Amino acid sequence: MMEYNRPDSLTLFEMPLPPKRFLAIGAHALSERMLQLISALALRQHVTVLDCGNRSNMYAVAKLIRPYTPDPVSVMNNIRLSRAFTCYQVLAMIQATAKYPLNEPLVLLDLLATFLDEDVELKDSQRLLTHSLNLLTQLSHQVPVVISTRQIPVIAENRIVLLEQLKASVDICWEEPLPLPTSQELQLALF
Amino acid sequence: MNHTFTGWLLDLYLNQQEGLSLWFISADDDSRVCFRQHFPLSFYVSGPNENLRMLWKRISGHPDVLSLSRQRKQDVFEDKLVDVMAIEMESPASQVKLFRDIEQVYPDLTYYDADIAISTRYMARFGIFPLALCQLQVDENGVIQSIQPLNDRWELLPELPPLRVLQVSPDADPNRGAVKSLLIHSDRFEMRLALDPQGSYLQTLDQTLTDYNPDILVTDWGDSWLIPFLIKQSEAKGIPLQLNRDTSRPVRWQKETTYFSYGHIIYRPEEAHLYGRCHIDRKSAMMWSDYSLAGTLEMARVTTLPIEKAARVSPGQGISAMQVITGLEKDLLVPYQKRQFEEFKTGLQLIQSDRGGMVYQPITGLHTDVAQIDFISMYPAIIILGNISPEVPLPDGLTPAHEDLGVVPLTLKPLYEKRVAIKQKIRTYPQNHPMTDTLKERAQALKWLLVVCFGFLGYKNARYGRIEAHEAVTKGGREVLLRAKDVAEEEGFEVLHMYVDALWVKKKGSNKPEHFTELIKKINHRTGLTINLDGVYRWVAFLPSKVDPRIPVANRYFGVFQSGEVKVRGLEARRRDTPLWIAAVQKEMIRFLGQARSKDELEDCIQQAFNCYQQSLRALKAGLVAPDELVINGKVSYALEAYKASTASVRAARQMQAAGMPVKPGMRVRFVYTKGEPDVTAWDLGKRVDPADLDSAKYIELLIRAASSVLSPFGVSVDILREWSLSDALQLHLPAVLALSQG
Repeated sequence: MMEYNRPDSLTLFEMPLPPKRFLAIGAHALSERMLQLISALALRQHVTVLDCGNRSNMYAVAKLIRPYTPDPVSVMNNIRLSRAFTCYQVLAMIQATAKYPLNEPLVLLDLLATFLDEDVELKDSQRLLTHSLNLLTQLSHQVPVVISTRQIPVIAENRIVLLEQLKASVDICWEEPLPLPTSQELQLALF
Repeated sequence: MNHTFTGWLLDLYLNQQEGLSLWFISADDDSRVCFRQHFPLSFYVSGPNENLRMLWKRISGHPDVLSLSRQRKQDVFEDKLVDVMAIEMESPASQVKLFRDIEQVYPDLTYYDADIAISTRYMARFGIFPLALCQLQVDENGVIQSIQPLNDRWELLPELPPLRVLQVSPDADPNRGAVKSLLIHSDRFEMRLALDPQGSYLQTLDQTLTDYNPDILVTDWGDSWLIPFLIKQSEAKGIPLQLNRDTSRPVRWQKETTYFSYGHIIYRPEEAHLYGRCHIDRKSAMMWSDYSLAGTLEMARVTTLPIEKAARVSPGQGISAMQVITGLEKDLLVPYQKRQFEEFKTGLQLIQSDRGGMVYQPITGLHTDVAQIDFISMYPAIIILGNISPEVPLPDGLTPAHEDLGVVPLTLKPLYEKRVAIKQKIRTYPQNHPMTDTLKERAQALKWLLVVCFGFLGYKNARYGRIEAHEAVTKGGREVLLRAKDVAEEEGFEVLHMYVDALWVKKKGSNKPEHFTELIKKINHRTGLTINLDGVYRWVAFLPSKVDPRIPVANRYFGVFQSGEVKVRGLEARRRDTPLWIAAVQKEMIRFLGQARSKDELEDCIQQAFNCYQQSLRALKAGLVAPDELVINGKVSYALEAYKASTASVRAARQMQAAGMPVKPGMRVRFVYTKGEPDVTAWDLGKRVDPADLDSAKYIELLIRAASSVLSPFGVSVDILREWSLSDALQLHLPAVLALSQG
């Protein structure tokens, strides 16, 4: 396998990742960048992906790795993933992952997506997230745990507490900078 | 002393004393009778032993708990039996209350059978469903001692009760203008009740409800306007109005809701539910335009959902109820919160498994003598044939990996067979037989249940859903379509297009239905599924992408069958947001084209279609089209504050919001394009819009696009059509337009 050392591929966290909890926050749960991260990790080693927001576009990953390996099948097989579509399933998926010792980095895509479901009472979302984060803390002693999420949308702003809870639970947090104001907003009108 | 009663079940709901209240229509004397019934029931809890022991201590001795026991039962997602605590409760109401209490204290325990609708439980225990003919033993206090069904859900032509249906509608759309009277209609009488300030209409309506005593109250805007209005007026004027048959209860209100379903955000307004009779608001009844009352009643019968609910909810909820019944009948635990996540896969396996239906892009342009062949209910048939269910091993392709049918195919099989039987029955009737429409509506209701069953396998909250089972169905579908394609090509047919469950094929000299009989027979044999000839087109046009005319688009076509019937898919006329007038012009143009019996006759017909376009364009430019014909039926999918870009629908919605009319996600917003600022006017504000105020340029562009969809297969490009249409030329000549398009 070719060595993957393109420095611009991972602008968020320095590689190799230490066993810590990383959080990346941005629009669309930074899907594109997280898929780049997964590709970079898969080119080096095995990686476990827990997709909590239906963001694991493996076609995109296959395209990303293709220029860097003559054996894309092996690289794609380095990725072990599962998807969950409710916060109950997210917790169960993390529990199943934590049941056995983990040797490879763990990436969680769009962790909070299902916890924002208004059909689930906030206190239940909080309880399930607390359980999930405790398990992720345990896992981070063994392997790096990278979590992505998006900003809480306006319609779910009463759930901002979930993002705060998540932020408080990680070692390193990276937030996508807000877009710069347009030139019209920066430039004062002459008259 | 017990007595025997025979009648049809109309309504069933909880009561605090005996457990259930059940309303029947007597089969002997046409009376409407309410009985009560004790209905003890159990739910189950599993989890760590120490937690279960704490729960045991907490609830043993509870006055409504009849018994607590340790049992071993089957969770559909577990390989082995699960140890559970069975909690037997005195009544359904006490079960609901206790479950809510203990769930607060022990949220981490796993609960089963905890939130099953009472109608579903009742069906599973007694085989009784809405409008089932039943025989009861009732004691002197009106309490049912035993009950048994005299027919079942799958009966083709069941004996139905003589239902009394009363229709009540305002004389105008209350969102658009002032309602002046109520229109009342039944099989016995019709009347118009003026909304007089004294409120005498309330007295008349109340008297009508008492005298006629309807079983079903069918309204327009009943949920959102009529019933709230009537209750408010009744209270304000002090004139009693008894909408319920059960006079001890007020109207039950179900909260408004917004939810995501099949790619759309849907808004459902607050619902008014009655006790002892059923209220159906045609404007809230999701599928009313598709299958009307007969289909709604069929939906209620087979799904066991209460009639009021069956009218309003999506067919997915019906399928869910049916699967739960099957699960209960098989003594499977019904999970409260499903925790089953996807099995771990490699990246490559996900690419290989997570695919949809097979699409083979069409060869764009005009084709003659083309047959369309469709698999009948393909996905349900694959689920049954391949025995695809979450709890059984999944098939590889179409060959089942397990003999005994799982919950999902077991649920679907009788449904599928009933629909086929109804369709066969329709074929035995002569044309215009009085039963035909009713049977068609019933078949349509069953079709919708079958349509959603596949999607429901992958739905996050489906109790018996599993993503791998969902993927197995699409895999089977792709396999089936490829086999059909192989057969067609072996038989010398050219395959022009394939779309999930349908193929469009042609062969020189094959232009009659019998020319395709052998092909169909061979596909049936090779796939094990039933394929059907939808028809032979005189001609069909597959359209390209609007963005890039070199790219074909699946499922965007129109054509004319040999019978003269026109089929249109993916065009503006099929879209809900296209103004009625634009859709009508497009349909009319296609109708002209449909008159061509052969390719040779098409030229004249194209000219006629083109003339139709010209006339319509002139009318639009001259301001002769009424604004209400140009209303756009938009939609907002999110709360308005969440929108960064302001679309026309959002701008219209903001006008409504500013006028004190709340707009919720999923709501439809009607508007017209107007000149100047604001550039849209929300239609439901009720403002008068003059034709001269309309932004005719916007509507001309919509008309050009709709017309070009129809004319593009004949060489008229949208750019040339636009250029000519926007010029001041009084007369457009088709040959000149064609020459320009091609040149």
